[in-house]
Amino acid sequence: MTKILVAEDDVVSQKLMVAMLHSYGEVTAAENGTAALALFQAAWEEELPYDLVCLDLMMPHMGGQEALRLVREFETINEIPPALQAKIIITTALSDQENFVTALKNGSAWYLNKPINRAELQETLAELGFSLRPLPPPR
Amino acid sequence: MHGPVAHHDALAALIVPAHGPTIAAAQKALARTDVSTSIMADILRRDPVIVLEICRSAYSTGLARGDNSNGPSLGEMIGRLGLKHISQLIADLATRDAGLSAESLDLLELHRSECVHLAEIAKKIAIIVEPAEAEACYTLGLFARYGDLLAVIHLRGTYIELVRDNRVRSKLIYKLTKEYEFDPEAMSLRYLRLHGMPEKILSCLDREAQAAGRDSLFRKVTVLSALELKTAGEEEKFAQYGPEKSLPARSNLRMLQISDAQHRRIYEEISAFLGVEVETSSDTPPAALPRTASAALILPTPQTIFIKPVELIDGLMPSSARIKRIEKLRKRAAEMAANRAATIATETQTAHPEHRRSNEILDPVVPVTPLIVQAIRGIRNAESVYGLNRLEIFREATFTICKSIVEASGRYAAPIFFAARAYYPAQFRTESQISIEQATKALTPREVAAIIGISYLLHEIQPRCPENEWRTIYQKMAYEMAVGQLVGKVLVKIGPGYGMLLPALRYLTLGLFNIANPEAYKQYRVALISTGDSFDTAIERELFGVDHRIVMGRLAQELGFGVAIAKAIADDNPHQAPEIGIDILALADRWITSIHRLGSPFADEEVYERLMPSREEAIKLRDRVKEISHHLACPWLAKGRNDIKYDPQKQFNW
Repeated sequence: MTKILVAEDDVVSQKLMVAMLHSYGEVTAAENGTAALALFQAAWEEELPYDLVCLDLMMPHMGGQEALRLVREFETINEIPPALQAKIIITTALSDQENFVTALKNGSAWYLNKPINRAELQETLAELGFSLRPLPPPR
Repeated sequence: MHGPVAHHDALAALIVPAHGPTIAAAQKALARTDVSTSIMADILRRDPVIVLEICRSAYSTGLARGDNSNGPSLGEMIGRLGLKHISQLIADLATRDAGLSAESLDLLELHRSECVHLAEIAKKIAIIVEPAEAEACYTLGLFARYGDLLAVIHLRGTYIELVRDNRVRSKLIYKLTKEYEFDPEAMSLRYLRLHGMPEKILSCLDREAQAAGRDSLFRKVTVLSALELKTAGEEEKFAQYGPEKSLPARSNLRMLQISDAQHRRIYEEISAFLGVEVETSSDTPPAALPRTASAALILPTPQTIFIKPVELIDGLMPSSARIKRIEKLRKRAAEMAANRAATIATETQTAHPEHRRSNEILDPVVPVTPLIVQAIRGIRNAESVYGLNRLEIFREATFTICKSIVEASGRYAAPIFFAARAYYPAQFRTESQISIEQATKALTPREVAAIIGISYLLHEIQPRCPENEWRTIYQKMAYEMAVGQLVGKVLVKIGPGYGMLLPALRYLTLGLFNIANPEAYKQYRVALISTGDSFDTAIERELFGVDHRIVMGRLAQELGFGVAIAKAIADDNPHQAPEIGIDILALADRWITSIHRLGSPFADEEVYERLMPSREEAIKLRDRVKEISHHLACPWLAKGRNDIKYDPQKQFNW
């Protein structure tokens, strides 16, 4: 099953993202970059790595850019092959060029502007190779 | 070795070893074929010693060419020097040995991590005040305490004693200066100067020197502010910099002329980074780390490798447990990759025959170089973020995304240069020389994406095709691309970029058919002569087991043009993805083919009626199609750097 990690400090946005992603796999939420990074590393240690990570840019303690850089660094240091590396989506209300380009250069797969549009998210996930998980068989 | 460093030669002779794990990571990265300059920059930026060597080489070559730029980023320097040179440099650095004791080595690693720490602080300040300067401030920050590394090498055991006895930095510096005539800051500047760092850069680190220009002044003040904040953190005086307090009278932060909001952000971010307990403006309490928080220690980030001297000297670094953990993780990753590869192989064997055939046909070009996919996908992402409403930023972002590719290789730069000149001549009428930045920004972002994708495929496919077959494919492709460009201009939703892309992908796919099965391709070509068509999907399925549209769609997807476009191409379904404005893609493709075949936009009535806004425009289009010359169609295709007459190297912005 697809494992998804959402890092978002705003409770409402976090719940919304979890709800939108729930149909794609098992979603875990973290409230900042530090917690997300620790969860990401722990998942690798437990051999159940995350396939998709959604990072908000502006979070307390550690923002999305820093978390993104550290996740990629973790994967490089540990020689995790590209096929196993997590796909990372940046979600943010900021649309300045600096943040956008930095995120892409640091290895994010896509940059989504808030408010997140469900159709746009679904389209992005399809492009990144994620499909809806099958519904349980009817009783 | 102890005592004052009186002569330049003695100072220059100090050998500072590079950071072992960084060297190892760099060597592993360099062994890969797909390593990019940005990845290398990210790895190498963790060690000031390596960065100094790169700067030294880059500045010496830059100055030799008369380059007076303000200091390129580390990635640009690596790009200029080339990975071959970097590989040699890393190999040389790996052999460096200063003959230090274990304790001195530990202390050296501590100071090295402090250099990185300081650089991060400088970068954080710059991001808040002047983001464009962040990279330059980071690099300068790496050198701000380089003298500490020199002190370890020069004074060896004595320095360890001094650190043990003087745990407050200011006292340590005082002792070093008074008793050993070794002022780390002055020594650092002298050392950097002896190692070829230009005065313009040094002026940003030298408190006494006058900064060379506005940018240098900002960098200087930022680095000095970072030093000030770091020292305050170390000496437990950080609270003085709180947003509710007025800054100390001689603080460098005052010179940054920051607003209250910026002051608050700097205070909060740096305090979080330094691990200083402060009151934050947010009501959110600090998040508790999950039970696995210790896993964070795996990463050698500045935060995690920064340990106070007392702890370090007690022998906490380097941690063998950490190394073991990394080894274990690597092993697991390799096992998982092998399992996944096995699963994919099984899936491929049991896949639909058409899918299997298209995989075989795509084999020479797939997987596409990650940098290409990143650039194309990045442009599409920029389109979704900025769209046409913020065209200037969109074009600017497009250039920044493609910069590393177009600046590194004439394979992409030359086609962009010639395409810009051919399609937008009015923009360059007064220019005697066009920079690659001007050329990229003159084109539409979709054109840039298309040119990058097409140029990549062209260079992969052309050399593998027999020359006579390729010539026919190339002629038809160039002509139809020119038609596609005109059609794209008329159909705003398609744009000239995707207008060119569609026929290019078609003929490049036919090139792939030729490579996969030359005999069958000959039969196919003969069959087409008798029908007069450019392609026939039924014959393709018979001869190759798959029709070209399926392969073409897959090719578009592999290049990063997206699933929706790929489906629109492969399924010939005009209503595939109306939400992103490509609902007419398949129709446009059909129209381009019919115009090529019959020479008129009116020939395919159904398509014409659905696509064309007015008859006048169709007539104009027909006239412009008639003007296309087979010889001059797509003059940018297959151009290389050597085709450009003047030497754009003289312009930094190539």
